[in-house]
Amino acid sequence: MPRRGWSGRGVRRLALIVLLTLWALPAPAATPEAEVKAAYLYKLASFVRWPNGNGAEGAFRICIAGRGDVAGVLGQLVRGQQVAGRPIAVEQLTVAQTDRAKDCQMLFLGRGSASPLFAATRGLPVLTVGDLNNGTRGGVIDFLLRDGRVRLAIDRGAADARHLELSSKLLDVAVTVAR
Amino acid sequence: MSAPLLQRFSGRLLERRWITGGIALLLLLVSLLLGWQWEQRENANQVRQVTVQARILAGSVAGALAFDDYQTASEYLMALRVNGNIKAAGVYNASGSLVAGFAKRGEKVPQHVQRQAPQIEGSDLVVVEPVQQANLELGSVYLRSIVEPLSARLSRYVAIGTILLLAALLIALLGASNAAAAAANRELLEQIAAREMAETALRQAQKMEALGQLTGGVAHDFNNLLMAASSGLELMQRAKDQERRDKLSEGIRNALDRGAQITQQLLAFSRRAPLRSESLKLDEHIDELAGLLDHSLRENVSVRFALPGDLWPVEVDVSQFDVAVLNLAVNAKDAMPHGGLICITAANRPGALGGRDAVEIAIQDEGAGMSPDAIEKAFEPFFTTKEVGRGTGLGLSQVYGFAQSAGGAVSIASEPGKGTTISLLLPRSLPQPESGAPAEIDAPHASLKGLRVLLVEDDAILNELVGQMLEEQGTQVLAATTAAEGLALFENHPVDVALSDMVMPGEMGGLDLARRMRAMRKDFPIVLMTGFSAAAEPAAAEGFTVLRKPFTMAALVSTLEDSLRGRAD
Repeated sequence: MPRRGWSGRGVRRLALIVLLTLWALPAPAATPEAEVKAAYLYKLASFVRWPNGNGAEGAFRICIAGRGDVAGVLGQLVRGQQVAGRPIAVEQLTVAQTDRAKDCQMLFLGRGSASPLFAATRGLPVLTVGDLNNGTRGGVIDFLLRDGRVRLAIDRGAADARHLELSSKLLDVAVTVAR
Repeated sequence: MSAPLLQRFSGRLLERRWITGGIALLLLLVSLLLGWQWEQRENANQVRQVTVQARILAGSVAGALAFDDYQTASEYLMALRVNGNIKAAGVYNASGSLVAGFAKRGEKVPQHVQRQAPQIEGSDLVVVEPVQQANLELGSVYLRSIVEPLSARLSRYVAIGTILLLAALLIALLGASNAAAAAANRELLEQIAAREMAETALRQAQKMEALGQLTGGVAHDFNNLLMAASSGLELMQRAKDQERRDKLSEGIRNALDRGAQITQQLLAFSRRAPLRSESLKLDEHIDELAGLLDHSLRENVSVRFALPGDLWPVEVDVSQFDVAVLNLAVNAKDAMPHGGLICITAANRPGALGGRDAVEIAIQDEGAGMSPDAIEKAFEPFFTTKEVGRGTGLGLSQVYGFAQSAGGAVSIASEPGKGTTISLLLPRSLPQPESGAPAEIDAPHASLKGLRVLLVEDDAILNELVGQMLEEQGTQVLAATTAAEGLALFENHPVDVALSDMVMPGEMGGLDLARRMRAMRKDFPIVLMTGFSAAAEPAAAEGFTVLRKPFTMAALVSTLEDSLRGRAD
């Protein structure tokens, strides 16, 4: 996916990245892929703003389809945690539960769960996260593996269509950003 | 007005050493305090700057920390490298372990950090700022920045500090020198005051000595005169021959005249003698003067007069003039102990007295002359070059006093060994008809006969004598010894004319009495008698007739007649 909207700073950053890759950086401790994805899902909530009026009351719902392992880790991770003053609820969805998917704030689409749930939440302020190395894509954000590490790919057009505001800091660490 | 006051005040302040020292110290203290305050502010400023940088870094690396993108974190850190002040920087994850960092040569990035307030470690400032996203704690950043070292900071203050120190020193120095000058000045003033006191005491002593000499001389002269008068009287009482009695009486008269002359001289010296200015033609007066001089000078001294015929008349008191010339001639004679010639010359000097015409009379001798020092002091009272007992030192003083009161001038030209010339410049008299001098009266004057005269005189002898003189003229005399008594007599008895002394004991003086009588009877003729010009002047100014003491019977009669005539007019 080609980058668009090059900025001067982006060019400089790219040059630095090239330079820095020559140096060996201390490798992060190897984490099971599921744990990393669960942690990233939790952290993502802090870098995104949802429009008001959609599920402003009640728990902050993170829905997970097709990745029971991630849901398990996340369930433990968010215990007692909050997002924007709201308690966090982790829910596992099946592909058929499209109605419930509409009320989620975040929707992680694991193996084989993409199309129906994705279609059901089109135009709604639901942050869809695709699991690219497991074959799901088309989320606002897609997890992908690069050099053995989980990275982010961002589709800003999808975010705009769902009235979601992504922090520039998030864009900063994305491997690719599509408009 | 305020400027000298301020100056004096500040001068006072600067006189005190401790005040200037205090000012200097205060200046130093204030500058130290300001410097310290400035330092504090600078430090706080630096802390703020580094903290802001740390916060920017923390914000920038939030995403990188959250999603383990340490490469991006490194990029942000590297951007800080260009900042020369930052020695080391690091990004730490939520558990406090280093994930990215850099350090300049010789510096180290700690592997772990904990939250802490910004603090100065050695010459470095260390700031640790948390990295947060929403309320998610992601980790922290670490910045180690150079704080300006003490020596660099001190060197920044060296210039201003030196100037301040010099200023303080200058103030202290000025204060010290000012205090020293003030002390010296005070000492000098004290010395001057002491010297002035000593000089005053010396002058007083000199004055007392001179007074002693004068009174001694005067007493001596008066003794002689009194001796002459009393012995003359005694002889007169014994004499049976009328011719001899007349001769003795004339001798007594002469002695008394001389006494009057001496007092005249003294009064002239004190400038209290009332001047009876009249127009004097010197060439006509010369015979009288020659006789006077012949009488007073020794035989081996001769006098030559050289007066031109067209000499202007001068406006002087004749008797004073005679005394002055006599004094000058006596001085000339004394300057020539072996005899010689005294030249008295006169000449017209147009416009010589400040534009006024004058006549110059010069008395020249062939004597010892005078030193410049002596010339300078010649007119001072009691100054004399003659030995004790021979001169009173009043001669030239009288001449000076005479010249001054006549509106003229006097000058000395002399050199030691070459004789002395003393010149008198006297103002020219403007021509006016001269009133004839009162003739000597032997017989009782007809116009005064039967006149009722009120006589007020506190001196009993004078009262008696003047009373007799008046009675001899056929007048009726009402005598009083005080002004109050005289006023009572005036109010209760009919009188035609009053004759009163001016200076009398009691609350009322002669002038007060005259004023009250004049107030009661306008145009009442009043004659005031006095020997003092100081008293005579205001009386004359108020239009009262003044009769100068001592007076002869002729003067008394003519003055009384004048006052009565004034009433008739």
